[in-house]
Amino acid sequence: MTSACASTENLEPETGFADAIIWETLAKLTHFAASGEASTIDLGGLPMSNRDRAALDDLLGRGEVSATLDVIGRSEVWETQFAGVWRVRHHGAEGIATDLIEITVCPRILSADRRDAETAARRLAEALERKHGIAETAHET
Amino acid sequence: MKHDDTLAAELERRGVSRRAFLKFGSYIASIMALPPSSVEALAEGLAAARRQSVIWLSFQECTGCTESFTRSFAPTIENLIFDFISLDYHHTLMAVSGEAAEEARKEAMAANKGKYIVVVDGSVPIKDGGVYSAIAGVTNKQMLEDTLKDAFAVVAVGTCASFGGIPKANPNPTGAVAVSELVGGKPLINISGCPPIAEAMTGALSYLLSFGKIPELDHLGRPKAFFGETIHDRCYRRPFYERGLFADGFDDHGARQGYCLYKVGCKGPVTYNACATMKWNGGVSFPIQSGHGCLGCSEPNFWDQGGFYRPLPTPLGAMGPALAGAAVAGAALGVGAALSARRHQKTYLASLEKEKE
Repeated sequence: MTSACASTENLEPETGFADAIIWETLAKLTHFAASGEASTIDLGGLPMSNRDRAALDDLLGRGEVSATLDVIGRSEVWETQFAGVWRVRHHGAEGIATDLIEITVCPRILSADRRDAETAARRLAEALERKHGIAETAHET
Repeated sequence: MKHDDTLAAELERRGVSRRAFLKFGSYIASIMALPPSSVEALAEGLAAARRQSVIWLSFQECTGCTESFTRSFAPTIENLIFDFISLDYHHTLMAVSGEAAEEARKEAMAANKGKYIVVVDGSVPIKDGGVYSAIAGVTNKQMLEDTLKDAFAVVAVGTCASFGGIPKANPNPTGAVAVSELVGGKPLINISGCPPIAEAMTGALSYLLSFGKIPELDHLGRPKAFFGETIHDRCYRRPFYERGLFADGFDDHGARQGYCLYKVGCKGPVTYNACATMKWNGGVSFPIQSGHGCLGCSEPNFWDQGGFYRPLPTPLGAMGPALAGAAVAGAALGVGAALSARRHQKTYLASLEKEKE
């Protein structure tokens, strides 16, 4: 029996958003190829239906690179089948928190920050000192 | 954590890299519709900021606003804001601490003079000297005035604090007023809604922390990023409206097909909020998606607007063209539709006034 109050999800229309966003992506990708200027399309504020999102995912597909980040929750980054066109998706408590198309060499979130590298160098030196100390102690005994 | 530490230093001690700020920055930029180029500035601003002292006053309210803001408890991007603020006083959460809580409020005010943010949920009764609501023997009005004296800014959370809400509904027995009537010249942000969307609160506080100033507000003091467009502008059912396909009841063919709920009283065309895009319960749904019209809860006097199931009086077709492609088509169309919606809202309110007469 079908409830009259059944979810309306399957009734959501395909609004044409996916095609419009692909055209915008093409324009930005062409510009990036010519000038090297990166850009981003934020899908978050667009009233896209689930069918729109599925259509967009299908059109862009997946390419050679993918990565998963564990930074205050999970994030996924993958290059689409079009070089230079990346998807960056940050997951929140119960769903997608941020959904971006980045047209760039490599999304910024994948790169390490030099200030973090500075801290990391200090931590690595401390780890070595500890290991060295422990090793010496072990050797002496 | 020490108050003089930067947020970057604090997260670094916990082994969290600056990617966290970048990720949070892109989340805030996304929910506030800021340009993607602002992400790095947001991230750097937050990393350099100190933990923000917040004093949360609860007056004539139902605790729904606090529930909305604190409901999320997993260590995720949405609630990283709780690492960025120091909630030095929250009346409802600290109620059992009694006088110790009141002392904490006074200490926080003294230690962060001129720098703390006051968050208020609930309206303030002022009739008969404000006797209808008091905390620790102090009337809400008096406590608000005392706490605001050395505050940096005020955030009115929820429709009760923003516009008086349900306590102010006819016949308003306690003389409830909005916080805006009592703040004097202090910078004020209204985050209306019954309850308000938690992301709107997170966005406003993060913007304050990153840039040290209040985000752009609408004519009712609400952040334009969340209250710049109507529910109708962003509703996924809007294409049905444009095609003249409506539900005439909650159990007819139109309702089952997911048609527009305009004729069954939806207040989406006159209600400014972000429910249609932010949604509720972790993005699961919002009232219209669940088959019920918008009640208009983020607008002033929503409780006294003539009935939730009464259709708006303005003739259909008075609105601007479909916004389905607005994001792509450009800002001009969006502004046109917003102006049209504002006219629609005025017509609606005028008709109610006329009816009262």
